[in-house]
This record gives sequence, structure tokens and C-alpha cells, in this order.
Amino acid sequence: MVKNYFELFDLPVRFDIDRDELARKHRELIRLWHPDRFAQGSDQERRLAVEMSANLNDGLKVLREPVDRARYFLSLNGVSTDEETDTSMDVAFLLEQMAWRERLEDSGGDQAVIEALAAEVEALAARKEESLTRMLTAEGTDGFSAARKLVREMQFLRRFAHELDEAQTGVL
Amino acid sequence: MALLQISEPGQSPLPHARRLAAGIDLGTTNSLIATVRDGQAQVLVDADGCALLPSVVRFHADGGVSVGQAAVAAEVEDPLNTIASVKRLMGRGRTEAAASPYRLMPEGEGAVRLETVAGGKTPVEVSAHVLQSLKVRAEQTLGGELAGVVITVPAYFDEPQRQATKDAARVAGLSVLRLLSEPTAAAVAYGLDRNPEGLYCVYDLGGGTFDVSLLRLSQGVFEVLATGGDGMLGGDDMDVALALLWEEQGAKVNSPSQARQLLRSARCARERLTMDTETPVEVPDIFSGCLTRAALDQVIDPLIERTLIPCRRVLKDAGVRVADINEVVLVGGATRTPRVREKVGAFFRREPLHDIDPDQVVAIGAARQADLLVGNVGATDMLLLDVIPLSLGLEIMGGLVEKIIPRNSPIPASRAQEFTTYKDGQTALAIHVVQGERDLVSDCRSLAQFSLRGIPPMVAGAARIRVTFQVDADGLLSVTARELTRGVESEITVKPSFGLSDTDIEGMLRDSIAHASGDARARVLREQQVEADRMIEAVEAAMAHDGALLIDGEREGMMACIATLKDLQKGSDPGVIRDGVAALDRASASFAARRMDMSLAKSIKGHSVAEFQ
Repeated sequence: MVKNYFELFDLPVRFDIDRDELARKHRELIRLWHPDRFAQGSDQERRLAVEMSANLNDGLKVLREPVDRARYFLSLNGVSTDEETDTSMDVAFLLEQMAWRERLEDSGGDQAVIEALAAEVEALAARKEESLTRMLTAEGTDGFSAARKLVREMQFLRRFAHELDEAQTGVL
Repeated sequence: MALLQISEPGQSPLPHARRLAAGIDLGTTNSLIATVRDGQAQVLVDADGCALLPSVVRFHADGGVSVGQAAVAAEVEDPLNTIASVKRLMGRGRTEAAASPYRLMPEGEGAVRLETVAGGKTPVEVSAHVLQSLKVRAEQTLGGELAGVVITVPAYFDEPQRQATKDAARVAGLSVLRLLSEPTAAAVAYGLDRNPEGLYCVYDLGGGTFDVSLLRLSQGVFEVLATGGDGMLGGDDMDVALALLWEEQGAKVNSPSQARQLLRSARCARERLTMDTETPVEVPDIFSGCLTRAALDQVIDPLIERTLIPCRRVLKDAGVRVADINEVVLVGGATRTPRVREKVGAFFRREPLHDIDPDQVVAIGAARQADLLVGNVGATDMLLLDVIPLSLGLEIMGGLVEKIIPRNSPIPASRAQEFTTYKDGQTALAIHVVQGERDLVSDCRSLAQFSLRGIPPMVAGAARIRVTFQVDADGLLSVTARELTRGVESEITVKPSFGLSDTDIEGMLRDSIAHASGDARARVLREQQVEADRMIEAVEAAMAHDGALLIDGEREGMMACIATLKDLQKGSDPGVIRDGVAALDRASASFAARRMDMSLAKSIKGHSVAEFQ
């Protein structure tokens, strides 16, 4: 189990993977390794099956989401995206974030306002994902530093999108 | 060995006789047991022809116990020793159980104990009596011992609630093949009998809990996309709301037994209003009146509205629109209520399915899965992928929670996290694991406190301790830790916040139920002997099959352990056999991991590896 997640699913180690292929490979493998397949096995077999399926599920999760996949891909190339290592952010991006947050706070729970905001965030995230794909699939490692900045911005967007979700479905 | 000889279900490499397996729906109000016979899943009935076993247990002063109808009959005359709806107390702490109608034992932390004439009883013991009663029913009907059972739990059950359920099965002497979430079980029952493909929503309103799950069914894989619910909302709450209405209208309740009587009348009235639009209510000496369906609807509407919030959330979590859903399945007795069907139908904009008896559908699905898991020939090949319903997190500075495994992650799941020491020479570290969605530790459920000991003394920040949190297919958590700079395995002590320790459970096994069902020690011994057989068989097959993967001395080490274990097996001490199994486990662990890697490589490359060899 020392394989990286790309190897685990027998996918080429590159950012732009075929997500349908990923889902298909995961389904094939989890069918073989799920602990239910070892319900009559020894404790050791069941333990290994739990470890293996957990690894398969974790791998699917990381590779399925572009932000997580980008972070993972960068870390395999020795580029850390941990927040502790760098706190600088683009000022324009931060200002936009603050404006959005104000709009959410001022919405007073108005679903129309929140939905409009969610649509904007989604559109921006999609544009950023496109640029990210371009940077990470280009030849060489020149794009990595810019990709790293983009990944961090996308993490912000994801968190905000999650808050918007919560605002739309009612408090927990 | 199963790890390599991956055979399609139904083509087991070792032909064996049909094993007895059952699915159990351990419900708040009623419990059921079902099994597959002649290819048909069917619910097993008691001597009176009843399928539903009321989940009610009465403790007598002489140590006797009545379960089911006999206990229900005593609810009013002996309310404090007759425990109903105990599922709501499973895995709960004292403060959460404070509203329960029973007397709680004052002493101690952790699991709740209910005070009865027969002494303090944990919810685990009470549930074990219900399970035991179903076990006896099944074994008498089927004429043999159950090889294993699948027990259903609400998808929304958190870790301590799942653990408590599994503990209850252990106390009742049942071997649990899997804890399966109730909606998944219901989808199995419907999915197999109907369209095999599609997106299903399962709306499950039982006596005490509400669950909603979105599942995708495709090519024999039932995958839970998202799940949500409310662990404290069900038909019982409708009864409480009705009782409150009647108290406003003048019902006088002066004792626990009268309160119980009023609640029972509420349930009966509610059930009658499934068919009728108006019903008289007569509760002798307490209340007399009339209830219309419109009045009932008004009382329960706020409760039904509460169920729609989790519905919206799961749609959001799964990224699914109402229009994408192929079918909505209703589960749980409370979904018989016309108003529930109406409002759920309006929300999902389609007529919900309810043609399988909503009380039986979960047990039937569980029975099918149990049949598959014991390896019976002819069982339908399917894989059920569940998710963790609530996020797992760790306490960090300032009483805040850092999420490590988010809700709706498919299980099994794992997450490794590195920790360091903050003081020079620090040799221990405390980790607090919680479950829930909120940011503050105090708003989440405490699962366990782990103490790591035996960290080699180093300067502050130099130690790197890798802690791995793993959630198995039943949704149960385990934690392992390793100091990375020196490779020392740290010792972990777990203090479950609400659960029972192994010692507690062994105590219960000794004291109560196991005694009634034969010799507990003999059973534990037999379990260990079976495990030793499985282990020896697996390792011998592995050596025969993959001798090429063995490294120097490994075969000799394993052979020696096998010889020792075979000797130990003849003895009568289960503890010694367990140690022997553990020794063989250690001796073969790295070989097993290498075989697994190789097998993975083979399975992913399909035939290509075989062709090269």
C-alpha cells in the first residue's frame, strides 16, 4: 500500500484524469476488496480488507475533487499547499471574498440573494478550475507556483460555497 | 484463501451446506427477524403468528425477564421496570437520557444505567434481551444455530450508538456480519424486486428516529450518496404531541402509569386515523374526547416539516435535484400516516412507494444481505457501500473541532494525522475524538479520549506521532499510533465517552443473558477455536499458493506458530488460544500484506499479469 493514489487505480500520474475511468476502477476494486467479501475470512483478512477499502475510498475522494487532486498532484511533485507555509493572498481576491461575505451576512437569509451568490461563486470556481487544468497539464513545472496560488484560492471558494450550502438548507 | 481466490458469490471455492443467516431490524417500537428460504426473504413469526416483537423488556424482582407482548401488557401496571423505546438511549450519556421516563442510576459516568427491581440495566443489556428473543425464535423456526446476522441501524446513528448495538448483539450471543443502515436495507428489498438501476430516496420515519438517504443503484452496487436525519424524531413524538394537546384540553395525568396510558391511547388513535377520518378517544379516568384527522394533521405538521430539512440537506450534499430522483421509498410505521405520505409526495413531487409493508421492508433487505454474507449459494451478488453520517473530528486549541473525516464519506475510511509534542521530554499525548458538524467541541458528541504513552523523550516539537483513524464498514472507529522518528508503536488507552469497556461486556456475558442461553465460556471457547481454524487454513493456503513471496525464515516462523496453535486449540482456555492466533497473525502479517499488494496489482491489470508469467 505504498503506492500513490494514481498508481492504486492504475491511472497515469497526471492532473487531467478521466473521472469516469476513475469511478469505474474504484468500483471494480472495491467490489473485490470490501470487507463484506471477507465476512467469512479470518480477522487478519478482514483487517486488511478494511485497510484496503479505506485506502480505495480515500483515493477516490482525493482524485475526484479537482482541488484535492491538485493539492495531491503538487505534493507528489514536492510542492506543498499547506496554509502554514504561506499566508500571502492576492489582494483583489481577498477583497472580493470580503464583499461576498458581506452580501451573505446582509442577505438576512433571503434565498434568492444566496442562490445568486452561489451561482457567481460556482462560475468563478469553474473558471479557476479551467486555468488550473491548463497550468498543471502544461509541459514542465513552470506552472506549479501559479497553480499553488490558484489551489489556495479555490480552497477559499470551496469553503465559502459550503457556507452558502448551509445557509440554503437551514442551520445544522 | 479468500484474499486471493476471489470468487464470485455463489461460486464459493469450498462448497458447504447452506448456513443459517438472518436479518434483524432492531427497532425503537418493534423488532423483527427475517431470513431467506427457498430464495424468498420472509419475516419469521412467533408462536402466535406475530411478526412484530414489541421492543419492550420487563425486569422482574426474581431476576426473570419478559420480552415483547408479555412486557407490553405490564407497561401500565409496572412502568418503571418495563423498558420501552430503549433504542433512544443506546450509546447515550446521562444528560441526554435525562428526559427518559425511567429512573436513572445516579452513580458513574459514561453509559446510562436504568434502575429496575432486578438492579441497574444498561440499554445494551435491554436491547440484548430483545435480540436474544429474536434469536430463539429464529433458531426454533429454522432448527439450527444462526451462523451470522445483519443488524440494521438508522443511517444517522453515530459511532457510540452503533457500537452499543454491536455490543448488544455480542451479549445476546449473535455473530454480527455487518451493521447495515436501515434505508440501505430498504433499498435492497425494493431494488431487487423492481428496477435495478436508478437514484432512490429512502424516507424512513420510525418510532423514534428519522432518516433520509439518497442511494444510487447500478450494476449490483448500492451506493449511499448522502444521508441525513434526526436521531430524536419519530412516531413517538407524534404521540407526545397528541398527549400534550389532550392535556391542554383537560386530560389529567397524575402518575407515570397514567402518562404511559395516555401515550398508548395517542398511538392507537393515530393508527386508527390511517383509515378513518375521525375517531373517539377514551382513556378511562384521564381523558374522553374525539380526534379528527384534520386535528391530528395540525398537531403533527411541525414534526413532518422538521423531516424536510434533512431532505433538503441530502439533496444538496449529493448534488442532486428532486427531478433526478427515480423513486421515493417509504419505510417505518409512521409513514402509514396519510399526512406524511401527502407532504413527502408534495416535497419530492411524486407518489412515494409503499407497497412492501413499511414495518417489514428493512428486515427483508437485511435478510438478503445476511444470506449473501454467510456465503450461501444463490444469493444475489451486490455490494452495499455505506457512508459515515456525521463528521469525525479532533479537539484542537480553544475547544474547537478540526474535521478529519467529513460526513458522507464512503466507509471504510481512514485518515492519518501527525502530531508533535509541545514540551521537552513529553512522553504522553491526549487526543479527543468527537463526532458532529458544529465548530465547538461542546456542541459535538464526544466519542473517546485517547492517551498515547511511551513516546520517546525528545525536545519539544521533535517527535512526530502519526495517528491513524479508521472507520470500518460498520461505522466503528479504531485508532492506532506510531512515533515516526524512532518507529515506536505508541500504546493507546481508549476511554469511550459513553460506551462500555470490554470488561463491562464480559461481565454482562457472565452475569445475565449468556447464562440463560447456555455456557458462556463454552461459547467463547468455540468462537476462538473457529477463529484459530480460519487463521490456520488461511495461512496454510497462502503458503501453498504464494510460496514464491516468502522471505527467509518466514515459512519456518509461521509453521512453528501453526504447530503451537494446533496444540493450544485442544485445550480449554479461550484466552490462550486467542494469544496463539495473535502470534500467528504477527508472524504472517507482512507476508499477508505482500500478497495483498500483488493481488491488487493483478486485479487491476486484469489478465495482463497472468499472460506475462
